[in-house]
Order: sequence, then C-alpha cells, then structure tokens
Amino acid sequence: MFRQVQKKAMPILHRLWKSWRYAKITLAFVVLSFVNMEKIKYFQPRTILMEPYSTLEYSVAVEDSISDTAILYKVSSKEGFPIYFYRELFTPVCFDNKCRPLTIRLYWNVTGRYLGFELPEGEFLSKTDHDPFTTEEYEKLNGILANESTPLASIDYNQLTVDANSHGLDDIDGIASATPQNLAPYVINGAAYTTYKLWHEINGPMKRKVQDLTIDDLSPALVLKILKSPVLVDKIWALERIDGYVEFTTELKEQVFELMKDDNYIIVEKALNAINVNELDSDNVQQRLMETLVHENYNIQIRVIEKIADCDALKTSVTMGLVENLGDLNGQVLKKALLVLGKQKLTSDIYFKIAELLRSENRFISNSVKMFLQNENIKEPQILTLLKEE
Amino acid sequence: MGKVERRSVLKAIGLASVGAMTPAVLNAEVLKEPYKVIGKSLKTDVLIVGGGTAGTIAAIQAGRAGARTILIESGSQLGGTMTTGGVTFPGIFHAWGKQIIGGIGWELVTDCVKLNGDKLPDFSIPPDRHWKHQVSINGFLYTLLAEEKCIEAGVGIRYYEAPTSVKFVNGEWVVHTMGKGIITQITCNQIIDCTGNASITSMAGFDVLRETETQPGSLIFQIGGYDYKALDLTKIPKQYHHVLRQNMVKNQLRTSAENTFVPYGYVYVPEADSSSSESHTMANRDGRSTLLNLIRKLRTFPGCENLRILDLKTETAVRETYRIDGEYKISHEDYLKGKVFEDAISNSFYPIDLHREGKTIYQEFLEPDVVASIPLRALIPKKSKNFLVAGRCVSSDRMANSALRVQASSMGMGQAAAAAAVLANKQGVSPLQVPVEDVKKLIREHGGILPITT
Ligand SMILES: Cc1cc2nc3c(=O)[nH]c(=O)nc-3n(C[C@H](O)[C@H](O)[C@H](O)COP(=O)(O)OP(=O)(O)OC[C@H]3O[C@@H](n4cnc5c(N)ncnc54)[C@H](O)[C@@H]3O)c2cc1C
Repeated sequence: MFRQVQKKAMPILHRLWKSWRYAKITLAFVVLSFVNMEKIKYFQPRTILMEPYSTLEYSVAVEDSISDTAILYKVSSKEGFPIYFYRELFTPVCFDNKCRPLTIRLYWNVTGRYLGFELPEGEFLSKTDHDPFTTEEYEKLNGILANESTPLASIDYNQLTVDANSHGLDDIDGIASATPQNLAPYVINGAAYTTYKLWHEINGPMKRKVQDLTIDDLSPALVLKILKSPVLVDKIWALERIDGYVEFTTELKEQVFELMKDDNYIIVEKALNAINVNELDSDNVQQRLMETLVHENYNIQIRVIEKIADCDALKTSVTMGLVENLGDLNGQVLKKALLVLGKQKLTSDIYFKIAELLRSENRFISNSVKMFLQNENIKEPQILTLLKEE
Repeated sequence: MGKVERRSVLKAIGLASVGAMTPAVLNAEVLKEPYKVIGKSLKTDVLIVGGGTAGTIAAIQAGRAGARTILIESGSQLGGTMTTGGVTFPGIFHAWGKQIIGGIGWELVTDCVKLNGDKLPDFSIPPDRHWKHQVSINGFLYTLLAEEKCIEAGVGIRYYEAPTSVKFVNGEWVVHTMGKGIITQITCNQIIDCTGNASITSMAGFDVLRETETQPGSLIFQIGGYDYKALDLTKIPKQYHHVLRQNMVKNQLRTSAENTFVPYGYVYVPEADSSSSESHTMANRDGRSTLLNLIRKLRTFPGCENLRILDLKTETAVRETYRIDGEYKISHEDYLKGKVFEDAISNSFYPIDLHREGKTIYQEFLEPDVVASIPLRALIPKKSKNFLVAGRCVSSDRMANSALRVQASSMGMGQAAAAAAVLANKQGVSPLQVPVEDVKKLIREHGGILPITT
C-alpha cells in the first residue's frame, strides 16, 4: 500500500522539490514518515527459518571512516542454531558538501550471503541533491546487493565516474571495461557512492566474519538445514563445508546422496566432493556410488567413476556391479572403469564376464576391452583364444 | 696419460677403429629412387574434415559410438582456432547457474584444467560479464589430450591433408585428398564438414553464403619486457595504450569466484579468410607484418625499450567466412528469444558479438533464464544427402552466427552432428531421416545436454 502511494507521489514531489531546495529534505521526511509508519526494509530468502531467541555481539575490525571496529550481532534460535547476522551502519551521505548521517541495518544470511537491509523509522535513502529513493530504486538496490558478481567488486570508488575510454580494454573480445554506461545496472543512478559503499560493506570483512562464526557453530544438523535451502549458493556453501568440517553422519550421507540426483551438475559435483576419501572404504558409500554410476548420465558418471577410482579396494559386490554394467558405459567412463578394474584382484569368472564385451557391436567398447585384457595376466585359454581371434 | 693407457681408452670409445669403420659408413649411403607421390585407398563409415573445435569432438563422438572414423586436418595438430589460432578461452558451458553444454567438449576442457592444476570458475553465480564463465585452458595440453582421445576412440587421424574433390557416387561419398607425398581416395558413408569455412559443403555442390563484409580475424600474441604500471602513458599515444595494457590483463588473476583471465593480446586482420591456402597465407602475412610494425613502434616508447614478443600463435584466427544454406537457418530473433526447436540437439549461450570493421564490438545479451538452442536441421545443407556440418559454418543469419560460433556451441554441434552421422550410417539413411529421438538418445548417452522442450 505504502509503495503504491509512494510511487504515485514521487513524480509530483520531484517537480516540487526542484525549486524548493532545502525545505524538501524536511518535507521528504515528513511525507515518508506520514505515509509510512513502518520501516523501509528489503529482504532476500533466509535459509534458517527458526524463531530468534538470543543475540550475541562480536567486535569486528573494519576500515570505516568513523570507527575501526564494528559490532556484528548473531541472532540464534532456542536450539542454538545461528539464524542471521546484522550490523548497524552509521555513515554520512553527502552532496554539495552538505552531509546528513544515515543509519542502516545490514543483514547477512548464515552462509554469508546478503540477506537484507532495514532503515530506522522515518529514515530513507537519498540520491544526488538528496532526492529520496523510489520504490523501484529500493528494489533495484536490494537486487544489486544480492549480486556477488558485479564490477563493483573489482573497481575503486573513483572508477565509478571514470571516462569511457581510459581503460582501453573494450576491444578485447567481448570484454568491456568499467564505464559509467556499463556500470549503470550495478548502481543506483545518483547514488553510486551509496550503492558502492553498501555493496562493499556487505561483501567485505563482515561477510567473512559471518561465515567464520557459522563455521564455528557448524554441526551435521546445521549443515543439513543449510543443504535444504532453496538457494543454490547456500547448498553449495554447505556442501563445501562437510569434508573436513563435520562428521559424515547417516542423515548427512543420505542428504548428500539425495543431492547427487539433482539435475544441476554443479550440485552433483559438489556433493561428490563432500565425501571424504576415508568414507570410501565403507560398503555403503561404495554401493551408493555404484548406484549413482548406474543411474546418472555421462557427465556425472565421469565424476563418480573418478571418485570410485579413489577407493583403495572395491568391495566384491561393487566390482561385480561395475563389471555387469560395463557394457552400458560410454567413452571416458568406460575407459576409467577399466582402469579401476585393472587395480582390483579379479577372478576367472570376472574375466569371462568382461571378455563377453569382446563381441560388442560397438568397436570402441570391444577394442577398449581387448586392450584391457591384453594388459592383464590372463591365463584362461578360452579368453586367450578370443583375444587372438578378435 | 701413458701411450698404452690412451690407446685402451680410445678403443673403449670405439675411436681406435675409426679407419676401419669409414668404408662401412660410406656404404650406408644409398641412392634413393625419386620422391614419389603415393596413392592410397581407404574406406570408412564417417569422414570428418577439419580437426578444429567442432571436428575434434565430432571425431571422438563418432569413434566412441562405434563407427569407423577418419579425421583429416590440413594443419599439423588438433584444436583449430582454439590451439593453432590461440583462442584458448572456450565458452560458454553454463548459464544462469546451470550447466547447459556438457559431453565430450566439456570432458576435454575439464581434463585439461585438471591436468594443468587450474581451477574452474564458480559457475553457480551468474557473472556480471559473460566471459568470466569462459574457461582459460592450456592450449598445448588441449592439443595433446584431444589427440589422445581421438586415438583412444579409434579415429584415423590424417594431418596435412585436404580434399581436392568430393563426389556422391552410388550412395557413397568418394573424397580425394592431397597431402604431403600422398593422394588418398576415401570412400565413406557420411561426411561432416568441420572446416569452419563450409569448404567441403561447397565442393560437394551445396550452397554456401557469405557476407559482403566479414569480421576481421586476429593474430594472437603476447608481449613482455616492460612494466605497464611504471609507464608514463602521457608520453605514449593513446591508440597504443590498450595494446600495452591487454597483455597485462593476463596478470589480473582473480582471487574472487571467477578464477579466469584474458590470455592474450592480438592485432586485427581485416578480411581474414582461411578457406584457401592462398587467402590464409595472405591473412597470416598481413597479421604478422602488422604485428612486426607494432613491435617496432612500441619499442620506441619510453619504458618499452626492452619490449619483447613472448608468444605468437601459428596462424591468424578467423572469425567469419562462409556459412551453409541449411534446412533451417537460425535467426537473430530465434537466438535472442531462446527458441527451443523440436529437433534441438544442443544449447548455445553467448551474447550476439559482432566485431564491426575491426573497431567496435556490437553486443546484445540474452535475458535472464534465456538459453538459445540449435536444431539438427541447421547442420544439414539443403538438398544434401549423408552430409552434415558443425562449427561456425552452421546455417544461421549473421547476428545469430556471431553468438553460435563460440567454442562450447561448436563442440555441442560437433557431438550432435557425429551422433546423427553414426546413426544415419547404421540405419542406412540420410541424417534428416534418422528419428530425432534416436539422435538425442545417443547424444545424451555420451553426455550431451539437450535443450528442454516444453
Ligand atoms: C580471434 C577470435 C577470438 C575468439 N574468441 C572466442 C572466445 O573467447 N571464446 C569462444 O568460445 N569462442 C571464441 N571465438 C570463436 C571460436 O573460437 C570459433 O568460432 C570456433 O572455434 C570455430 O570452430 P570451428 O570448429 O568451426 O572451426 P576451427 O576451430 O577453426 O576448425 C577448423 C579446422 O578445419 C581445418 N581445415 C580448414 N579447411 C580444411 C580443409 N580444406 N581440409 C582439412 N582441414 C581443414 C583447419 O585447419 C582447422 O583445424 C573466437 C574466434 C576468433 C577468431
């Protein structure tokens, strides 16, 4: 409701303010406070949807103009799970050497991802000439702050106003330099500094501190909760923090193998990487990897067979499974599977089973198997005859 | 050393008998008969012409799917524009947080990245600049791995050869090739033209198209021996700043998620055309003389006195020559709207990227969640039989082509074209008659990622 009123009111106010320079700041305060008794706040989806229970404070070193440390608040649930983090930022917003202090609360998700911002009652963000942000601009800002991959990451503040040709990078294939035009999607027009400053606050030392604090609290249960996040980067963050961080419990194992069925290969790869080499000795893990190998597609099979290759010795049932499915494997997966088999102690029965593929109508398969058998110390006369025949 | 001692040493190293050996060495020299160009006749299921970006993948796919496969390449190594041309920056395999091109091309790229100890960019976050999701690879390794995979797949590689005639006789293609000291007649069931120039398509009698003005080629090099940051740019004319800067971009190794860098500098070569030895020679000569003059000029600037050329690619890389007139022509609109065709056999993701007059680049970006697709029909020349193409000569208008031509898409096309050729050979039909679901199934079995048809 407020946003609709604000949207309609803005153009009118804008015209009024053009001639009414100083009074307009006050007016804006009045109007905004009048139409909006609620606070201005924008958020992204949160991973842990539990009720806040307690808040802890942490002092973090920052390079602020005002202070060199800042307080980071961690909000946790009754059960002790971190839910989100926030800090209060006090910063001057200046134009024509006239500054006004701004207070803004910045929020982080437990994974360090930007979660949102909130302004105190009656407070608003403003642009050049102290024009307040429109609803669209607040929404755009929310999107910009949520985007970790932006040119703002790699440029200095003074490059925000750089001359278009000063880098001369534009004629490298498809690579354009930071110019006011191509930075436009990444800043709020007239509030480039505010955008830049907030983005760097979000993605600076505080973010790392948030991640470190979550890592301190990391448990299989917390990882499980993050793995269920609807946000891709959260899932990946959690998958990257299993091996070497938490115990690989049965529940976690289940969830990791469940994620191997995801249709996004990025997740599947990360899920495979989450399995520690020591886990590969277990029957259950080997068996689950075999099942994934059989059911998944080529791109995933390559990564799975590489993982299986890390196993010191395959369980008999897994070796049998691999041999039985050999004829259905393609290209590099087949080659790698044969390499894995080459490292196992194989029985005569297994050699016979593999030798059946010498008759495959796919020349690539029969040739690969022939090369494999030729390199093995085969004693079985029938197989030796077959090898000569082929 | 005493006399006796020295003699025994000489004997030990065989010099004591120098006199006795001389006649034998002389006798080893025999008069050889005059150099003769030999003739050879070969038979195969699938013949791929051009072992570049698309052709290498096509050959591996055909071999792995069990077809007898021959790959002829007029140069001396595999990879084409990626390796010989030096564009070691394949893209784009991911879009909007998902992988959209996989299979054999991706397998090669990731093997290359692993063996070189490199890291892949973080593909989960869509980048602010598309090229940050391109993968920087070691071109030397790519060449070696591509060749190994072809050999493993049973592909008969024939370097230094090019077709001189292509004829369809009694339901089979008869291709004559000329190489160093060898003339070969290859009889095959299916041909895949991966020359980048649609040369074989044209030789076979099918229509090809060309713009009146084509994009420039590029000769890729690296320079060093100066410190860009220490240069007083006010003393160097502005038009040279980017040349000096480009090579320094290489050093901007990112610590952020997008672990990638721009691997080269280049000079533009207007009208570069690789479709004949003569035109490609001209493109190489033009590029090299432009570069030589540039080096001479750069060395006159303060701080660049010791500037050196560190690397120069073997040949001028060519962006645009001929395209086929295919059963379907992918349009600019199809691309930008991400049209998914019933017979879509690969995704494609890149901005429209046209190098105009070698001065500016025209770009149009795909909207969020839009991914373009390539129909099998765009790989089949009109009125053709047992014939496919893959790579930058895909049937498309100029704008669509400027995006379709990139390496990941070319690889996707290579894999798809080979799958269609293998099945056509097996079923004894032309690629257009192979049920498209069969083609899709084979592509999928070998890791290709198919566009999602709704
Ligand atoms: C300068 C430049 C920069 C680029 N930048 C990028 C980039 O950053 N990322 C990206 O993904 N793409 C980029 N591209 C586009 C992309 O590299 C090419 O469009 C793509 O590699 C073309 O693949 P292709 O298989 O069609 O041709 P090529 O890779 O060129 O292969 C053709 C092969 O056929 C051989 N051949 C030709 N004629 C014959 C014949 N008659 N007989 C036998 N063999 C023959 C050639 O020797 C060559 O090996 C760039 C292109 C250029 C030129």
